[in-house]
Amino acid sequence: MTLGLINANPVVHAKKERIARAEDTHAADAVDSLDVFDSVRDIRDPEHPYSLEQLSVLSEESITVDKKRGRIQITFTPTVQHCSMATVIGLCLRVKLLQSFPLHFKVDVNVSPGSHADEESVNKQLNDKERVAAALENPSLRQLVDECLYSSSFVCYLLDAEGDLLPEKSFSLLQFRGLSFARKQRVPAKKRKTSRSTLNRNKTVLYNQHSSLLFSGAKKLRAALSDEEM
Amino acid sequence: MVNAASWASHIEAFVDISRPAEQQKAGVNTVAGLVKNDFITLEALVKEMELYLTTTDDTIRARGILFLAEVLICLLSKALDSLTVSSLAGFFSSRLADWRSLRGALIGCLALLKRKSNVGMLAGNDARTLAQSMLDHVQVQLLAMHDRKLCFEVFQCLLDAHSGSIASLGDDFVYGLIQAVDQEKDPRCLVLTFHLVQSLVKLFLSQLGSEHVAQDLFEVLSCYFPVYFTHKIADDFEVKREDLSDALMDAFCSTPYFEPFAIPLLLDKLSSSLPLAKIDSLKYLNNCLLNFGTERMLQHAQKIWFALKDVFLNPLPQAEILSSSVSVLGGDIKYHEHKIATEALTCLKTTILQFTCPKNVDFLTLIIDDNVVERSFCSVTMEGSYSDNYDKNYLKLSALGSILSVVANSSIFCCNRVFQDFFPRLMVALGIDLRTSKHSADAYVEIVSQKFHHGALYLSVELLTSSRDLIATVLESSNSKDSLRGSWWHLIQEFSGPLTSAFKSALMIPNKITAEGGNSNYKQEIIICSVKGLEVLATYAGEHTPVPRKSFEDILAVFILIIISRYEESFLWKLSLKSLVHIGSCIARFKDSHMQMIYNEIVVRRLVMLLHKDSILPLALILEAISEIGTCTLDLILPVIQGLEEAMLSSFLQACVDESYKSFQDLVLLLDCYCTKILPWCHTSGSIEQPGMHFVISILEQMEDNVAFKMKPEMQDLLDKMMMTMKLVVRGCAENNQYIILEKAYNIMLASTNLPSNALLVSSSILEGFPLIPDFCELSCQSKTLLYFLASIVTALHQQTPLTNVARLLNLLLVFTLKGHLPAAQALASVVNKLSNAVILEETIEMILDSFSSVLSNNHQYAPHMLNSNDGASMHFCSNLQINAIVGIAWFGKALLMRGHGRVKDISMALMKCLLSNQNIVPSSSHHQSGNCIGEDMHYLVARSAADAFHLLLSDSDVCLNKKFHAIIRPLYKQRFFSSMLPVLHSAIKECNSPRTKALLYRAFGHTISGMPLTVLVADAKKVLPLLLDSLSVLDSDILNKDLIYSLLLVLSGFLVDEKGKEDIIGYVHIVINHLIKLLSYPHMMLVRETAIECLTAITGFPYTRIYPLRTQVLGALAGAFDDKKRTVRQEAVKCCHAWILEFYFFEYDYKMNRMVL
Repeated sequence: MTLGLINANPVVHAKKERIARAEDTHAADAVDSLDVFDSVRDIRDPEHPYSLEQLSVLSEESITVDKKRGRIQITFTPTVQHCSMATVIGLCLRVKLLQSFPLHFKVDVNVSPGSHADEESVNKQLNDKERVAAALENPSLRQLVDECLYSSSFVCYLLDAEGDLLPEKSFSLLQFRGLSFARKQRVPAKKRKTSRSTLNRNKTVLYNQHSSLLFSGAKKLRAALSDEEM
Repeated sequence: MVNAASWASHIEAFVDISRPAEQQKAGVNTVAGLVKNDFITLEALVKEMELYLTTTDDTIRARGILFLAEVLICLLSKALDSLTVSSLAGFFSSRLADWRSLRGALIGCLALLKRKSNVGMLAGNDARTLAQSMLDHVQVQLLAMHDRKLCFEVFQCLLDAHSGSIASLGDDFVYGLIQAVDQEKDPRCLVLTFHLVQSLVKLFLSQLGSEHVAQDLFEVLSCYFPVYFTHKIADDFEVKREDLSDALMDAFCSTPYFEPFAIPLLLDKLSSSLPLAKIDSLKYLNNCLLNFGTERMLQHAQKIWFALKDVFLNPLPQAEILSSSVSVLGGDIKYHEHKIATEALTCLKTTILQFTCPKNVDFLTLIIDDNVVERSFCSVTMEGSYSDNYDKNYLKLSALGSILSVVANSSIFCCNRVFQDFFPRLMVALGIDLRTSKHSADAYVEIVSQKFHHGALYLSVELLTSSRDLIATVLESSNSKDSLRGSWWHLIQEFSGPLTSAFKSALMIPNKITAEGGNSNYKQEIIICSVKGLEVLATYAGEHTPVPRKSFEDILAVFILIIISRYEESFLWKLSLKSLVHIGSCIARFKDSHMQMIYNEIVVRRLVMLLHKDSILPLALILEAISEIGTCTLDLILPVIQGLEEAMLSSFLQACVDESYKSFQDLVLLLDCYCTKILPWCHTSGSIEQPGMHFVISILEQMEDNVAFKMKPEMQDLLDKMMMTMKLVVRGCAENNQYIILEKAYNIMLASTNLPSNALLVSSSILEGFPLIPDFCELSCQSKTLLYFLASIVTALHQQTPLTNVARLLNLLLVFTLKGHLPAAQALASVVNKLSNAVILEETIEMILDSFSSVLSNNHQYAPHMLNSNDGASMHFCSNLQINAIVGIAWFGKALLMRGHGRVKDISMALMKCLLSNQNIVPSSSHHQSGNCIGEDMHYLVARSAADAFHLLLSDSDVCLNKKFHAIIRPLYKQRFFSSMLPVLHSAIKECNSPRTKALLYRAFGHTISGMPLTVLVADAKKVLPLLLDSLSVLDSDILNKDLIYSLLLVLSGFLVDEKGKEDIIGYVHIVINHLIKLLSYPHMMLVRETAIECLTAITGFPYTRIYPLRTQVLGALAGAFDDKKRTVRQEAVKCCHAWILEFYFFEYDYKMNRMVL
């Protein structure tokens, strides 16, 4: 059984190269729109294994930061007019910014004008504190948001019934949701000091431990699922 | 004889397949050992094994035979009589028919075949029987891989060692073998089969001349060409594609009889679009050409040339096909193209060398008169055609260029031919007319500058290069020099003048070209070509150069002119410099004294002259050029060194006497160049005696004569550089020269500073004589500089260099150490570190230690004698003296520590004493009188410098006491110091109850552990960790400690990621987290904040239950770090926050999962 996807065949754009900032040792670096963009560009689309940047939902130009008044404004463009996932994307953005920026910033999340059939209600829903809080208390919604946020730092793996890895490509959200995911090994950041690079190297080891742990959970899950099907 | 029962058990164990493999192997070895040492005979063994060898149980029989075979393998070096060998051979040959025990039979055969003649070899007829049995009974291709491999090994041994008896089997054997190797697919076996076919070919085709089997044999091989290896990971099979391909190539080229089949196949595959096939075909073709012989290959000459031409001139379409079909391997295409081109060139060269001799010019004519070559030559040398279609033309041009240069490069004869046919036409295309140029070279420049173009320029440079390389190789390989000069030589000789001017004018007007609208790429190409052309003209081998002297001079003049006046065009400038360097090393290579002289005159002298007078060329560039050129050969560096030293000397005088700021800056640049480029080169080449010694001595002499010497305080940088230069020079000198320099410096020092000499003789107590010696401010600038130079010289001495008046020198250094001159302290330490005489060493140590400790201990007794001024000033003087003494004792201690001397303990005790000396003084409050207050501060300063002395003791210095300056360094000296100091510091910190002193103790502790290897610290984790954490909290209040805090944090992070360290730190994890959270807002250093966050991230790897209670605290603190003013810290904080959230997210998720499943 497969449910139809809302946008089954999205246009995928290339990722832009990350801009390495010049390090100024003395001056303070203020928050700017590139900072914000860097933190949200890797959020995964709820439907597809692509990032919001790749689907062109977000761009650097769609973000404005007002340092003096402490405001961050994000305008995003859903891939299709009637996208019911727009609210989920907005929720993801909100949670991500909450976790990455100081609390004194006020965040406004809006869909870009004319890009959504139900623009007004979506905007209203996304900027209502109470409704956002309520949405995040819904466990299944919360899980979906978390998956979108954290899967950017993971590769998603599918496990077959024996707990072996399936090839990375062949998953969609529906398959994904019931299964587990594991952290990807990150490439160590540029080496500055020897002991710092060892720090990074060991991070990778830690992550590996995690993934084995996850797989054990997922194996059981998979077994449970197959039981149900029978 | 040994009882049979004792070893029969081994056989039993081997036959029983359920026993472990090690036991079986050991059994084989034991029995083989018994046979080898004649405890049992082979007959007895076989008799004992009879039942195992003949039983009807298949498994036991197979194991039994295998056992016998394995034993035989172990007996390869034991002599056996022919009867035994023969009967064993009969047995194993007959067993080949028994497919169940085939493995054992094959191994047994192999063991017999491998026997050497001196230990009883297999007889000829036995070998033939064996071979016949192999052919009759073994169906190789039906077997498993390992058995196939064994079969091939058996065949190989038969062919290698028993070729005579095999030959009598005739075609049966050949066809049997062909059947055996046919359809083989495993790479491990294929390597063997290729080799097998090669041996077979050698035996039957080359020796026996049975030509009729050639085609069949080749058919077996041909289906593998080109080797296509889909298996990506080479390790699995231990066989790489290259191995297979090489083995196949050897088989392909093994006999000329393959020629009618191989060459058409190779030529056919050469037109394939698969790059690997192309590369392999070219490689095989090249090898075939060498092996098959000219006569056989001559009939293919034309076809080979057409195929090669196709590869050269049409690389583009194939590249396109490739990129579309094999898009995944996009990165390989460039590599492949390059590889194809090089292989094709090698192949072409071989072809020409094979087919062309002065008697037979057919092939050469074929190439030179080829229509396509002719056409492309015309098109690229035609005027105006070039700029239209840059890329396409460029490919055509480079293809043509490489064909012509390979042809010209292959022999003198070909070179003549190519030059005759093409060179005059190129000259015409360049607009060079001999008649006009002979009349006036100047008028000629004008003409040429109007029209020249890249195609002709490029091709002529290619031709010149190939002829130059040809001469070099011919000269190296043989001594026949008469044949070198042919028509090419005369052509170049004739044209070199105008050609030089042509290149020159091309270099002079590049700006005009761009103005006309040519692209910048085009301009660069022209510059590269012209510079290359000039360089080639100047680098012909020595006396055989066709280029007249005047042109050579012209070329050098052009380059030096560019170097001097056109430094703004950095591309051209760099290229010219490189060419000059190349020319210089080329002259050195061919040892041509005449050219060397010209080069010296035109290039080196002019550059050196630039150093002395003001020129428009910036000094940094002059130095770059002069050091590059100087370091290319020995003869060139001498004038360069001389010029540099003179320049340094004069600017030293100008800077220090006339106080010229410009000379000061120049001198810094000069010294840099001298230290970083010239001196290291001299030391590594080792051919120059004592570089710089003259310079050092003359500097010292200048200082002696000059009274008006000034060294302004802002020139400290210069002084440091001068000292470094002195050290580097002295360290490279031999002992006797070091001695000369030292004497000189010492005498000048004594003479010019008019120190009371008796003051230096009072060795019993340095302090009595102390006041007699003038102080800082009284010391003239000249004396101070002299002292520093003397100290640097002493620092860099060899261990063996004799010191004449050690006592006086040491006293001098000691006195100035106490006066606070750091170089004196370092020199003192170096002397002590290198003293080789044990008695003197002990005395010296005693003396120095006494003086230091008397300064450190009796604080106030002697101070009033020295200064009859007020209380505060005397205090000040006193504590300054003590601080100086502590710095001195730290360096001194470092010297002893490095050579592993036991007295280090006394020094560390003295330092500890100083550290603890202000423990009992109650911190002053406001109502105390001011004098006391100053006293306490002074005490504190002394104690603090004692704490910092630990840093001096354990850090590496690049100024002195290192390998470069010949210090004695025992391994692991830091570890030793650490393990001796840790208990002392530990107990001192425990007992201490004054907070200020405690802070200082922590500081000392921090210095002690900060550079230590992690394993040492982890071993002592129980003591180190609490102290480490305490010092983090104590030290973080002071901005002066920020570097220390950072290094401590690095130590902590080491603990957090080390497996063993984690176990130790787990008990402190809440304290660690609290400290780290405090450091998140450390205001003084970004690196500290960042590292603290990284440590927090690393903590997520700890057990969940330990860190869960701290989660909210950490996340709260991280939220604060989101607001950090540095971006890197913010980003790190976000990452860390994620790690923490996920840590618990995963656990909760997993927990839920488990609940669901349960």
